[in-house]
Amino acid sequence: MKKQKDLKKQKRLQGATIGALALAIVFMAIGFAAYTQTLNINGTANVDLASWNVHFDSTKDPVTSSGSQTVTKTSYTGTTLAFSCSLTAPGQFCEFTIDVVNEGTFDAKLTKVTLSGISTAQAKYLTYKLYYNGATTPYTATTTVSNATTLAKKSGTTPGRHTVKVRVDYIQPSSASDLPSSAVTVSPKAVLDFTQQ
Amino acid sequence: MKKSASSNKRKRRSIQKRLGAQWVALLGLVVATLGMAVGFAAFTKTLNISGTASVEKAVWSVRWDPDSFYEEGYVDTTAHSISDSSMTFQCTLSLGDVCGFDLDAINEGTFDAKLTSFTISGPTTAQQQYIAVRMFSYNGSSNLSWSTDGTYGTKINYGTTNVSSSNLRVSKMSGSTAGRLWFEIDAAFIQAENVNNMPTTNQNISITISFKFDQV
Repeated sequence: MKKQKDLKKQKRLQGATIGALALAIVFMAIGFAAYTQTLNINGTANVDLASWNVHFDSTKDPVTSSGSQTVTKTSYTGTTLAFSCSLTAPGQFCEFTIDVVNEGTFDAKLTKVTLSGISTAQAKYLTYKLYYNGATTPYTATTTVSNATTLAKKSGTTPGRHTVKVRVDYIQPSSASDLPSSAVTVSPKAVLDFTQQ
Repeated sequence: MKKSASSNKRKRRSIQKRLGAQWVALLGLVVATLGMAVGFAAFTKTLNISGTASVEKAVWSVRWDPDSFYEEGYVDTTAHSISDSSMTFQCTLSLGDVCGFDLDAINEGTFDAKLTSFTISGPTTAQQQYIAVRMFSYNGSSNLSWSTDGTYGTKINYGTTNVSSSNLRVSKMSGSTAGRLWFEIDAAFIQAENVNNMPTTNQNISITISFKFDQV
């Protein structure tokens, strides 16, 4: 009798758990269903497998700007670009442009730019800037982006495309004592976070 | 009794079987739920740019070169001292005497520099009538000179004189060779235009010449 009671208890527990899971799945399925419905309203008759695919266009080399010191890519993948350049005197700069492409089926947007790698002392003779999507005002520090232009999803065979321009300037500090007294290797970094639009 | 016991056993087995199947179904649901949750979470992407910028040292270093000091041979200085940014001298003059010396400014920095102005100060208005300051330099192609009495080159007044931007440059360090700019500085005890302006007692006259160099 006791065993039968235990079994009944287990059954009730299972029933409750299944009910809760089923409810959760129904709610999540509604989310998917809404998404599917949106595609239908847009007249997309044949929907490819949905994909989230934002990455650097590593098929194109970084384009060095006119007047810039030579910029060398040391590695370039879909999500990572490493570069090196040499600045021998104040007034010189390294600048290059790369593309971010959206080959997925969701619109994307830039939500955060994180700039790091330059110390306070180095910042007196170096500036580090990142221009996104042709903007004339650069990001010069870590910034949460609230108004970035949508990086459109792939349309036919054409991916959405935005430019990212990176610039490092060797500037003349206001005080000569702030200049580097020996050769310095600086490792500027930028991290771009994208989320689904 | 036996029949009833056997029936109960079968029922229990059946329930246990069903429970087993339900646990498998539950597990499947959990996996499905987690999968959907992962699906939602995957819609972000982080792209990284990392760079290495090699920055060579830079120095702004324009200073006097004490080794370049050279008496011009008129009236020697009775004392002088030279540091990186200042030079002081003393000399005793009788009417008509000139105390003069050569001194080079050198550039050991990584920026080309130019003399943009110089300022002569010190003598009072009365002393300016009989003390003349004369300055000479060479810009690589021609001699340049200035004097408060108009004896040589451009006549200037005490105070600040601006120098044409292209005239006097001192090149940055090239290899182990510093850029160099030669100056001759003369102080002369001259006859004042009005004899009443001549000193009636011995005078200690301080003359300061400040040279302003800027980055080219």
